[in-house]
Order: sequence, then structure tokens, then C-alpha cells
Amino acid sequence: MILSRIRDFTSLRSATSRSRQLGFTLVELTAGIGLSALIGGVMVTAIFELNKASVNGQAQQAVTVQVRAATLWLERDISRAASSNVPDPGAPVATAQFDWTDESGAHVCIYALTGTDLIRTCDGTPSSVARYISGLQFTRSGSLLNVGFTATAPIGAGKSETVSINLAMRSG
Amino acid sequence: MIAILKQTLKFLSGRQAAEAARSSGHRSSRSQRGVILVEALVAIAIMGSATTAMLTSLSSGAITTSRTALRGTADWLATSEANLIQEAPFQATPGTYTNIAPPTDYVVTNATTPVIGGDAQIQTVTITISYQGLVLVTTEILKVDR
Repeated sequence: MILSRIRDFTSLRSATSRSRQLGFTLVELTAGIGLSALIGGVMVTAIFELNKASVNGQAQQAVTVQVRAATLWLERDISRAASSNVPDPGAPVATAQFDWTDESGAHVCIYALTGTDLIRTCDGTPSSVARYISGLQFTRSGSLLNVGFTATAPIGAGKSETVSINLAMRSG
Repeated sequence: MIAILKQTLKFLSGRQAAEAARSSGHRSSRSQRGVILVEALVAIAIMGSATTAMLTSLSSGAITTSRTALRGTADWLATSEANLIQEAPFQATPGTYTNIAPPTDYVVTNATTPVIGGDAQIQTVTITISYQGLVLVTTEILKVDR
């Protein structure tokens, strides 16, 4: 389309008198405005798409960070636990307690949700280890604990990740 | 943007020069036209490459973020699989263990190989986590029959 326009443009120039070459013709001007509008439209669409991708990326990042934080703490405590209050076998529970004794004495760690915060209370000291968490549940099969939860980003169109991880308790 | 402005200025000044040349009877307008076309093409090429470079760098950020997310999921899947295998009854080499149930589009596999210099009571278990055919995590654990 552009090429044919250029051809028209050059043939018109050589065919017509000199005085007509001064300034733009209406066709040239229309074509120019049309092209500018087309390019502008594409650019605006691209910018909006990029903005959407950026928000999605931030949401994804938020979910990944919270999942990682939650799994690291759970892995650490469950791998040390010698016993737990999670019924074996039994229905899933939303609050789990893990007990163990090491060289520094006896320890008790409790995991539970407060709102959407995953709270780890160890030896009476509570701390929030992950945010935007829901549906926390613990299921036990022998020394294997299955921890399930969902992390949902506070931004973006509900970007979330549902985790179901098997973690082994210290046997005996 | 600066390139466009420069081109526009050149274009306009070129036109004025051609006009002046015409009124004074010189014949330089034909060569002026050629230069303007080439200049326009160069400007378009520069704009095109600049825009492409900008969009490429912006999209690479989005790709990195999504790869990090996939890798994060693959990490906890590998941990889950490893713990499940460690707690399962020992299977003679070569054999496989029951896999965890992964989320949609993820595939989890495991394979056992003998340990060099070891006996039948020890094996290496290789765990592979892939997403739509792309291998994200490969990890090895040792399992003993005890």
C-alpha cells in the first residue's frame, strides 16, 4: 500500500507542472494522517499490553515469594519434628503443632492462619512467615505430612498458586 | 523523536532550497527528491530498530519473571517428590516409585540407577520436573533399603 502510494507520488510529480509540486496534495496529506493514526494506534495498544504484562509479572512475583517463604519455614520445622498433633490417619486440620527436642531443649512450633497471614508460633513467639495465604491444611500419613495452601496475589486478576507439598518428619 | 525532527527540518529546508533554485532558474530539484526519499528510509529504519530494541528489552523482563515462577513451582514439586520417595518402601533397581500428582501442565518422573561401587540396598533416584516439555529441575537423591 505504501509502495503504491510512493509510486503514485513520484509519477504525479514528474507528470505535473512545477507549481503543483509546492506543498502537499490532499491525497498525500490524507495518506500521511492515516499512516500516523495507524502507527499511533499500534503504539498505544502495545503500551497498554506492556502495562498489563508488568502488573501480571508483579502479581506472579508476589505469589512466588510467598510460596517460597511458606515452604522454606514449613520444611525447616517439619523435618525437625519428632511428633505432631495432626491425626494419623484422619481428616485434614487447619492448625498443626510440631514438637522436638534438640541440644537447646524442647521446642513447640504451631502453624496457623490469621486472616491471610501464615503465623508460625515457636516457643510462644509468634511471627508472620508468609502473606496472602488461604486454605491451609495438614494431612498426615505416617511420618509424611502433606501441607496444602493457596497463595493469591493482592494485585492482578487473582493470580494464585495452589501448593500441595509432602514433607517428612524426623522418624522416631 | 530527535531523528524525526531532524528529518523534518532537512525536508523543509530542502524544499525551500529547491523552491529558491527553481525561481532563480537552476535545475537541482530532481536530485533533492532522491535525497529526501533516502533520508526518510534511513529515519524509518532507525526508528524501527530503536522500537524493536526497546520492546525486546521490556518483554525479556516478563519472560524472566514467568521463568522464575515456573522454577519456584518446580522446586517445591521436587521437594515433595523426594520426600514421598524417601518414605516409600524400597523398590529394587531398576524400578520407579509412585509419583506425586502435579498441577496442570507439569510432569513429574523418577528413575532409579545403581550406585557405582554400591550394593543392591542403595540406589540413586533421579527426579525430573518438566513444564510443557521444558525440563525445569533435575535432582538426584540417594535411597537405602533399611
